[in-house]
Amino acid sequence: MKNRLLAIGLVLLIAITGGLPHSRAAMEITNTGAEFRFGRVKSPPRPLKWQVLPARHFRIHFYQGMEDLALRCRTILTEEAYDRVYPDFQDFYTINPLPEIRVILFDSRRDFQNSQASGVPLTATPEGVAHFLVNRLAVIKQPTLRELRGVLIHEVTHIITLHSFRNNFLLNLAGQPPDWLVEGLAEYYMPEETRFPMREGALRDAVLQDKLSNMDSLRTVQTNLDYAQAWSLTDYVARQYGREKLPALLAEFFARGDKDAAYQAVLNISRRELWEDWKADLQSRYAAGRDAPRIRDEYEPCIAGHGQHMQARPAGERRIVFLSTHQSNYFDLYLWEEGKIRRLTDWTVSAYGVSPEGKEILFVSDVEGEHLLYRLALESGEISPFPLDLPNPVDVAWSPAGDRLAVTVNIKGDTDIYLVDLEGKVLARVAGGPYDEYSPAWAPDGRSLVYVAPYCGYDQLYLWDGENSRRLTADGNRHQDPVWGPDGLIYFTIGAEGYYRTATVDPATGEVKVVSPFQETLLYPYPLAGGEILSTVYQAGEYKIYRWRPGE
Amino acid sequence: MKRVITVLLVVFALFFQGSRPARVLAEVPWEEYRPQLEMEYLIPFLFYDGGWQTITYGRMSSVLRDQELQFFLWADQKEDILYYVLGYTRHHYKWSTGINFYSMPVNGGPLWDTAFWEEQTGISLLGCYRRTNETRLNLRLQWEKFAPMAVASAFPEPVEAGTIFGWEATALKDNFTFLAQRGNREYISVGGALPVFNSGYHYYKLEADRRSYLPFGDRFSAIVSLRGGKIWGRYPSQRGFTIGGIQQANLSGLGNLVNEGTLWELADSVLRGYPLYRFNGDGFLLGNIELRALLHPGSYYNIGNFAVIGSLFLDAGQIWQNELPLNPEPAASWGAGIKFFLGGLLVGIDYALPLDPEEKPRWHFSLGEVF
Repeated sequence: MKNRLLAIGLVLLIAITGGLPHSRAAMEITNTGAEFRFGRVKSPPRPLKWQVLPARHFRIHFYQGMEDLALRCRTILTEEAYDRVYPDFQDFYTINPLPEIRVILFDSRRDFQNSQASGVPLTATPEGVAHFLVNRLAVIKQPTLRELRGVLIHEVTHIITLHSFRNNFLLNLAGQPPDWLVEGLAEYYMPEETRFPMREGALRDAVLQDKLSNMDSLRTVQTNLDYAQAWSLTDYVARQYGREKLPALLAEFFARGDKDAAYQAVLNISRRELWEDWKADLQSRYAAGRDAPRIRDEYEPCIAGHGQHMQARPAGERRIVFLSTHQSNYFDLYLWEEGKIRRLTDWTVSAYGVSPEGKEILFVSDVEGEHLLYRLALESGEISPFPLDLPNPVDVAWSPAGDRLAVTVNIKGDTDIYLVDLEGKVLARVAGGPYDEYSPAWAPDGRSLVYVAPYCGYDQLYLWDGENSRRLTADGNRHQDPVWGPDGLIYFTIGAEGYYRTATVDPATGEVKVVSPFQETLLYPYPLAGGEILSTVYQAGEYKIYRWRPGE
Repeated sequence: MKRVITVLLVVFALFFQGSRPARVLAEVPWEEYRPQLEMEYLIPFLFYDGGWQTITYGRMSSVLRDQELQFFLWADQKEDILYYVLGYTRHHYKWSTGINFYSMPVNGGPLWDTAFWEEQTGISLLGCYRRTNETRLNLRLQWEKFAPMAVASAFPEPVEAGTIFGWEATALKDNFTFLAQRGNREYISVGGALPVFNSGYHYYKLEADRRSYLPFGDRFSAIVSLRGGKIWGRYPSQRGFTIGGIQQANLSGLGNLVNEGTLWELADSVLRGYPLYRFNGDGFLLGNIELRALLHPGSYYNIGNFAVIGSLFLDAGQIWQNELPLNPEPAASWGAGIKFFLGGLLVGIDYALPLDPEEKPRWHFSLGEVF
């Protein structure tokens, strides 16, 4: 009996320590896929030829087609990430130095998910993962340089802040830090412009709805809102008590656990008092728009159904194309036609453009490993590869005449914009600087383009007249999702600190005018011929599509 | 002691086989990747109770995890126990291969209703060609020595000790999605045992399984399952096909030397209304129809950490021994059940009424997906 109990305990130990992630046989702790009958397996879409790029403090693993990206990552890691984080935590490594960090780069989510190196299940959807026990991090190439910087710095922060405590994790000695500080540190050390803007949008929404999590809930961080709260609370501690308290608090949590004593020892305040002070601080930070009318009190979502719905555009008469997670964990293309919804793809779709007649769609997917453009005939549903001469498309816009495309590509680690014909041949380069230029939208006459590029730390709108570019906006807000309206104005999203609204800019004068009066964040505006606007509205963790009329 | 030395030699051989220096490519700042095993973690528990005892678990991998090695050691000086499991995996583009060395007591049955415990010592070679995420070919070659340690009185067969050398090839497809309640799970498997390497068994085995999931709207779905198998030749008596109840341990899987009958097995053969291990033979056919209704929330896509699923079912099966059916009429039952989805784990309770008036109604408990 004793042996039997011991045997059960042993197998439980293996399972708890991750020894049996997939296998259902106690006798087999291999992980080939043949250990179990049912279930999906990791099947790489293409063979990968791995190389290693040595760098100061890092070794970067990458494969074919990612040479330029690896060099770009080396610069980010050595010149930005390490120096940004390590000095605050160097006291953790006075006796045992931090070993070389191994960085594993993936070209696409599909490659990442199907690789054993990711160390996560097939269906997991993180942008990167830090295995701090073994000093490895795996990161998916991001669409833009800004996002790549953000993800790399986030994951490197995990390694630097946690690696010295690896034995505490393994043996569960003393205590564990709450996720709000673990993830909060990773978000805090990211440069502000690299943080996913809608994380703060989710935080603002929770503040306005009085739906903030309590400290117990923040021991686990999973959702977008959780990450935003983790960052906000960490940022609050750094602002109020000094940045030097962050490593002290982390070390104290490992010594005492997430208990009052740890907060008292470092911050001289109780856990509950910290939570209440932070909540009060948030109320003043997110006052903008608090008293504005709510769109959901005046309108209904124009597309019913569960899941996230976003980036809606018309495709002919009474038809709307949009991205949704309606029937999957990933965004796919869907068509709304007079109240009925039809799924157009069952691949991951990250961006798309509709032809002027609304009969065809070009979309970006990584279903084959690398990002490629595909052409979808709306009536037949037939999908064929689009033979683009450039690698790594990020987004695409179809010209009003239907004869050219403006394609954003990421070739060298940041995004550039090119014009190509319908055979995929390059006609001209619109923008190719060392930073991100993206989100092109055509003028109705098909001669000019508006696009987004950073200036002084903020995304601004730029106008390309066929030969030269000039900046249209300059204020201290983010400007994104531009679309040229039938009235000659450019519609776009403007905002800061989690509050994003729809605005217009006159391309001739540069005059900016906010047109959405609502309390909620509105994204991806698309002006319709009758004066209405299709928008993606965020509220309580969900994106839904609304059709509304400015001035009502 | 010899076993320990053998295991250590294998570990060292695997550890050093990838440790050659990487080649620097000409005129570029990068070099070729070469896999090399390194320790991820080692969790040793060592204690003294008049004699030394240890429970140790370790995991090694290369940077890209294209090589993985795990080992597990349980030794007790007083009881003269030395149990171990060591598994090494190598991943290539579409192929994964693995080798396991093991010596361990194994529970043949669910946690709450053990059929038997036996000590198994052996080697298994696994290969898996992963054609797509949903389709693959599994290959297995295995030598094993087994001896009973304890047998439950309810288990209908004598439990043998012996040595077996088995093989198996399984073509498998699984495109079922829980959220959509759509897809198929199916396999066909051929295998058997050869009378070599001191093995006393020689048999061939064929087994097939298909489960179809059909959604009706957001809440309702139907599941149709059909499974059958046949063994020709001499096989260990406890490793034939066994049906009855909800077999949380796939004893019929043991018939092809898969060694699946352990704690983490989800239910594989379902004949509710009858006790566990009721029927045992060398051939079987089993069918199930189940209608499911999601009672909470309104759609599978909206399931967070909690859901309730109700079901109505009809199970029927027959089992043969030496070409003769064990029952004049196939065993069949119907009933209803409820399942709770608790943070990713399905916990189910079913109430089944056998069509045979001599059998009494039964409750069944299950963990995980029954189909």
